[in-house]
Formats: sequence, structure tokens, C-alpha cells
Amino acid sequence: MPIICFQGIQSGVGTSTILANVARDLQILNQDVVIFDLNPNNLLRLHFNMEWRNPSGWARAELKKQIWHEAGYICEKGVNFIPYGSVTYDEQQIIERTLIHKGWLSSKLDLLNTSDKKWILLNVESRLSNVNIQAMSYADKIIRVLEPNTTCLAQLYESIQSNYFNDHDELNNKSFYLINKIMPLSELDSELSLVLKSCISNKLIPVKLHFDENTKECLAQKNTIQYYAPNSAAAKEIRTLTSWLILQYDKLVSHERV
Amino acid sequence: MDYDQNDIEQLYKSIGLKEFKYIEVKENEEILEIINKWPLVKEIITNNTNVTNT
Repeated sequence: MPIICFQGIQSGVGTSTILANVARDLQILNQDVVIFDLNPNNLLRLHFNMEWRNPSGWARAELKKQIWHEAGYICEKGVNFIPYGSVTYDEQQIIERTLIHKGWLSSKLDLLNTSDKKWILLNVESRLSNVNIQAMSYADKIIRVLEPNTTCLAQLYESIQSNYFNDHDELNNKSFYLINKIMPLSELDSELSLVLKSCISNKLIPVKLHFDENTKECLAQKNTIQYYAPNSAAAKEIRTLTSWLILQYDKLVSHERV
Repeated sequence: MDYDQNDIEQLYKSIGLKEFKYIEVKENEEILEIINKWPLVKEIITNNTNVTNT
């Protein structure tokens, strides 16, 4: 099963939205998908029409000693997702310190009993934490999202020069970078995209996602881009990204067969 | 002071990641122009600053 971890270089770069749109696109292309939201902001679920006030999720279930995978949902269009759940800051600290033991994520994914062809998409927050490190280690690929601005450039350099990433070659090797929210008329966006391309050329996903008002609006509609604005440029760019991911997985399977 | 191609090449190498492809500076004068145009971009990439504490 392909396991893809999505992480923003910093918060607010659109990682959850991209993941939701890719998941929906994979499902439209007849792929089985499960989303596991590991981001405490608990926002990804809103793309799949879950009620804002509904507190359910795996983290909340774990805290209350309930069966965590019963907090999974399937949206009306067929995407499976497990939300993080609504927890307080203190509860989040308890989860991070006492519940997330070594091998926690792999045991959870094993329990999902997924087929070899099922895609598992993991949504993690930008900071390093026990659960994020497990997700990144367990994933086949890490998609790291950034915007073409100087704060993301600074975060990127901090991140790739950080001891953790420098000491873990396997994380570097499977990390790929995706530029999101490029403003077509912005001189700085265009020039920073070129700088990023030159810095991380062989790690940059050959798909750029441009800023599109439809992408903002689809969350306000509690929907994804394929149903809200199927003919938009954003929907076409997401389709290109999804196709790139499928192609990468096909290559991975071919490589394993050889 | 502007940075020349050797400076930029050295500084990219200082990132130290095997998987990262270094800038082909000879073919990317446009990139050098951009780096030199935006002070913060230059500072991040070259790890150099003209700002001093007072």
C-alpha cells in the first residue's frame, strides 16, 4: 500500500487542502484511499463535510479508552478519513507524551487491515513531534509543501540544515517539495520559484499549484475542488499532481518487483 | 557587495545534503541576479548579512 505523508514547511501553506483534494481525486480515479489526520488542528475533515462541532476523532477516542478506529468516517463521495478529533492543549500533551510509543503508528495502520492497493495519506503538522517523526519514517514518500515566499525559504533552509533531517538520510531521500499558492502576477513569487527550483531541482515535484480563489471557496463550501469547481485551473493542477503520485507509486512497485 | 558564482556554489554546497543538486551557476546568471536583488533571499541562501548589532 502506498503511504504518503504530507507536511507543510510551515503552517498555513495549504497542506490539508492539497491532501483533501488529492484524496478525492484518487478516489475519482477508482483508487481506494484512507486519510489519517495526525494534525491537531483537526481541520482536514471539514473538506469532507464533517460537522464543525463534532468532536470525534482518533486522539479523543484514545484519551477516553475507546476504540480509536471507530472514529473513522466515510464521506458521501466515498473517501475514508480518520479525523484527529477535538482535544485541549493539555490533552494533546498527554497524547504526545504518554500514548505515542515507539511503533504506535505502524500498529495502528496494521489494524486498519488495508489492501495492498489502498492509498494511505497522512496529514502531519509542520513542527517535529513523536507522531510526525513516526509518520515520516513510515511513509514511502514525504510531500513537503511550501509557498514561494521568504519565510518558507528561511524555513526550508532551517529544516534541511536541522540536525534531525541532516542525521536521517532516509527522510531526505524520500522527501519531495511542492510549491503551492503561486500568484501568477507576482514578480517575487515567480523569482522565488526559480530560486527554489535551482536549489532543490531534483527534489521539486514537477507540478506547481497556483493561487486560485476556487481553492479557498471549496473549503468554505465544505467540499473539494473536483466537485466545487471541476473545470478550474486548480482542479487540473491537482489532477496533474495526483497523476504524478500514481506514476511514482507504479515506479516503486516496478522497482520492488525487479 | 554582490556575490560571484564561486561564492554561491560554495554556499550551496554548505547545505550539505547529498540529494540536493547544486545550482549550475554558469547557466543560471538569472538566478544570481534574483539572489542579489532581494536582500533577505541573499541572506538566507548565502548565510551572510551586512546588518550589525548596535
